[in-house]
Amino acid sequence: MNIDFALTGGYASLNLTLQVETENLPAELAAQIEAKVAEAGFFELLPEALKPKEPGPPDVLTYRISISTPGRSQTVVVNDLTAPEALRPLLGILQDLAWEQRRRAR
Amino acid sequence: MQKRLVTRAGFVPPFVLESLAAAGVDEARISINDSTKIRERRSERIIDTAFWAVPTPAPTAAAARQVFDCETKWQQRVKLVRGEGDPAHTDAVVNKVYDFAGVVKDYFKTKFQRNSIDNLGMNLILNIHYGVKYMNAFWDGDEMTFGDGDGKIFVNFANSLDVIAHELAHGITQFTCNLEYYSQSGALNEHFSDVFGTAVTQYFLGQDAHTADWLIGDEIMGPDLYGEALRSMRAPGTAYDNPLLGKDPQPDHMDRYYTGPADNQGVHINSGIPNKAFYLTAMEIGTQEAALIWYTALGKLWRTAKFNDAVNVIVESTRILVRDNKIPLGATQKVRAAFKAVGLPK
Repeated sequence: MNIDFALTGGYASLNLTLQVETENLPAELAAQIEAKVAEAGFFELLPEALKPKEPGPPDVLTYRISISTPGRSQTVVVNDLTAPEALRPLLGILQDLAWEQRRRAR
Repeated sequence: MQKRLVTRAGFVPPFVLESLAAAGVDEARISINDSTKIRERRSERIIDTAFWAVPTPAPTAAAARQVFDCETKWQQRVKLVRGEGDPAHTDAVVNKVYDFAGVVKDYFKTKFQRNSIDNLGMNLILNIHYGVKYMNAFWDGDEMTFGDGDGKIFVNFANSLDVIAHELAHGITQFTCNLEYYSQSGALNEHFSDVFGTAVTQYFLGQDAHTADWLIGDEIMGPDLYGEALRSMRAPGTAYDNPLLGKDPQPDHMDRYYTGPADNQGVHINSGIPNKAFYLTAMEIGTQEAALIWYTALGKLWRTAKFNDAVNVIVESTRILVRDNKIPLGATQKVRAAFKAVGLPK
């Protein structure tokens, strides 16, 4: 499963990105991520319904997630007000991984 | 003779409204701002939360603070934990956000005679402990929401007066000129929030322009980001440089204006340019005097105003305040010089 994740905006004007192939991760971590993708119903989400219709409101975070597997792919853009609650665990684990990558790059 | 302008029906083209707004025609400015629509939406939201038994405020209401604990859920208004006048809570974060919201409310009342966010006594809704390790705070059109951070990169956003004043000021902007959150108008929106975040903090701490650090976000830095800040109004572009956040991208001059698509075309990036102009002005005439000018200008701008428009309105506001003996003679020239130093108008 290939994942392309970006978190931008917010009070701190964050710009956090992550590109990962779960095959290249430790098995347990890969399983956690894939489980959260399933729990979110990611491939059943309706991107147009979730996409913010206008800029703002001020200082909300915007999240862009692209996931592809053999046979299907989907890109979803949400912000703090449009993100479904079921998507939050996936957003959380991807953020943690992105920050960890930055730490290891130091 | 004032012409009657049709607003949302689109009879008057937007570019005509903008020209009229720039010329000081209030009806045009209000038409662009859509403030009536916003007030209607807020009234509907108050009805939605009637189950908390908080009465809908009358036009002269006293801007009651309401602190809601989101209990790490991704929902707002989960549990009301402290209302206006309630005793201190066992959770120190509740008390800190309650106290600081009071500081901000009192500042705008004392300095500018403004009765809360909408100048009609709008309640201050404060959501804390939002989500899990949520590294942010925001204003969503009705209320403020604060995350706890992760404790390593960022600490609790609700513990910072700077953050609370910044987010509350977004509400004030919404109920005055409602600057569109995109490109230059969005950068102005962010700029005004940094201005009032700084002005309130300096006032509270008894600082002036020469003793303040002019940093934004230094209070929420976690142990991994010791010594850093998010923005510097004194020297945009120098607030941080580390592997976790990267390098501060803010320009301090129009020659380095960001034109890319990120961050709604740079609302947190290009705000550095007018931020520097405010700093330079404050160093000449004082922070609170500069804040008075900027607050006056906020009431005269419009939704799609750009940097050059803001310069014109801020300078005009300065002239009016000098004429009325609210700020010293010579301020107009110092404000022009401050903007010239950052390459404005361009």
